[in-house]
Amino acid sequence: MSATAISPVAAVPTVRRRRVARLHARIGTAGMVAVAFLAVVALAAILAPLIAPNPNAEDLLNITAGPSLGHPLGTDELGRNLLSRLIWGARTSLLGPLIVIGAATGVAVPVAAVAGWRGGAVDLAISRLLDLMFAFPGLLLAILVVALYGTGLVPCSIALAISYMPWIARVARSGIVRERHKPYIAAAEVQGVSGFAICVRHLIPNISSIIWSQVTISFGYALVDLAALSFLGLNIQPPTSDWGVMVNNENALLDGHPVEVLYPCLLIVLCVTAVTYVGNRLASEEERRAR
Amino acid sequence: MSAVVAESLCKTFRVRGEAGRVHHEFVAVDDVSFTVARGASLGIVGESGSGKTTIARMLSGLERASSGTIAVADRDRSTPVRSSGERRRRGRELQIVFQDPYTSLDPRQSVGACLEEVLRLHTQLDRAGRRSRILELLDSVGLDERHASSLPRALSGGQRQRAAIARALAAEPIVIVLDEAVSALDVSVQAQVLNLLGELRARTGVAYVFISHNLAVIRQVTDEALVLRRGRVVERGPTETVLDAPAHEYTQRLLASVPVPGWDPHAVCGRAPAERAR
Repeated sequence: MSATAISPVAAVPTVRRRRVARLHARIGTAGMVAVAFLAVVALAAILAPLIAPNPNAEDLLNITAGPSLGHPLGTDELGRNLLSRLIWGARTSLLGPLIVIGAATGVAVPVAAVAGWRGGAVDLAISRLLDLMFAFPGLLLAILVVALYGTGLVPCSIALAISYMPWIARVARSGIVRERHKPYIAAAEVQGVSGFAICVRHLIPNISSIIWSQVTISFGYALVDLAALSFLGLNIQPPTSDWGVMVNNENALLDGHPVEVLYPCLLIVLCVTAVTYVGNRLASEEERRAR
Repeated sequence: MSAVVAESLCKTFRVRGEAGRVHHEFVAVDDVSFTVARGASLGIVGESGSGKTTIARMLSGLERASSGTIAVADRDRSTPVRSSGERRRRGRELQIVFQDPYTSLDPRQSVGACLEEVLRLHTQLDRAGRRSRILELLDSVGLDERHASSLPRALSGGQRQRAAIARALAAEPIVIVLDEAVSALDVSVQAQVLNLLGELRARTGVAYVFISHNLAVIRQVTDEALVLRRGRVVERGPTETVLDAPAHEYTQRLLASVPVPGWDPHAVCGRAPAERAR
């Protein structure tokens, strides 16, 4: 064997291959199906400009049409291609939760690391502050932010990110507290590794699976919350296609053409179910290992 | 120049009672002093709760002494570190190997990456230099390059403990504290690791502070021994003398507690079998 075998870089491919097998072992076949479904939706959203025609193009001769070759899922009451609107809608519908979860996790994990690593009074102060934040309902905060800064995806997402942060921080903190007193952390301390490097290189990677499970579950909630905000008319504004906006189409219901509301509902339910299922499997697996 | 000088070390833990009030104070280590010469090996023996591990934690800086001083290589380490340079310097002076080989290595880090991290921190070696040093370290503890890419879970208890020893050696410390380092290993593996420790000391001139409840282990790897009871030193001297001709009654009982053919546990407890049967 050559000397390169010991380099951490050379060890990466095997680790990656192991990762897929390990994910399958953790979340099961159903979980992998859920992941595949989400991947397809995400890919469709990313490739929307290439695969889907203009979602706002109106075909007034073909309103509330049934499925056809040109409009695989039919059209809405303005003759807009439903499939195209769903695909374009996936962009904002998935981007919103991504912003929410990304921002919330980006703040929560460092906060949790400081609390768990320092312990004592710092931990106490941070934990009580998080408790305070728990008391504030996310949707209410979002409505307040919209009142101050106007409607749109960014204000809504940031407001939700603030209210989601303590949930992720609390879970991450408990994981860090559990890991903090293990001998491998003490060994790194005795080596002279800085507290920051210990957190980044050892503590946080070792609680990544509980962070992941919390993140996936929160993603589902954020998707529903943002859709609710769109439904209330505070988030994405029509005519931009968004699943939440599409659900809010009372005309469709009055016109006796409910499919255009049902499709986005179904997609929201499927996405949330898939994400939550994967998150729950990760969480229960983590719990099983911790014992 | 001594490797370790510990003077009147004390550690008091405040035990919280109900409602978070200070209930009482527990003295874990009470006025313990010792010196370890360079390249020497000191054994610290005692039953569970005698303060052995607290001493190890104070030596390595994981716990602060309530009073007393510790110096390693004539440099004081009783106060908390003030700079990252000092923290690294202390790492190059004293290293520790823990009891449990299953939790003392990062489960996500391969053995090679673990050693690489230490070498990056303490040496100026370039990539190739670190690589050959990793192989050298693995070789010195009886592992080879195949183990470098293994995660700890793929290794046996003995191999993990060897990896932990390699990590401790990587910074070329003056002292290694071994806190019950072989107690979790089965007997044949224990013997191999003890032999390895003996060899390493002869070759590198590192000093050991060897903490154990196992008298046979202490006899094999140490020159001097301290007997600790309830945080106090009850006896000290050359290991042979302490174990073969114990002066203190507690040491005698500790020795008598080791099961041998014809051993009578009741005699050690100081109770007659008839009394116990009742």
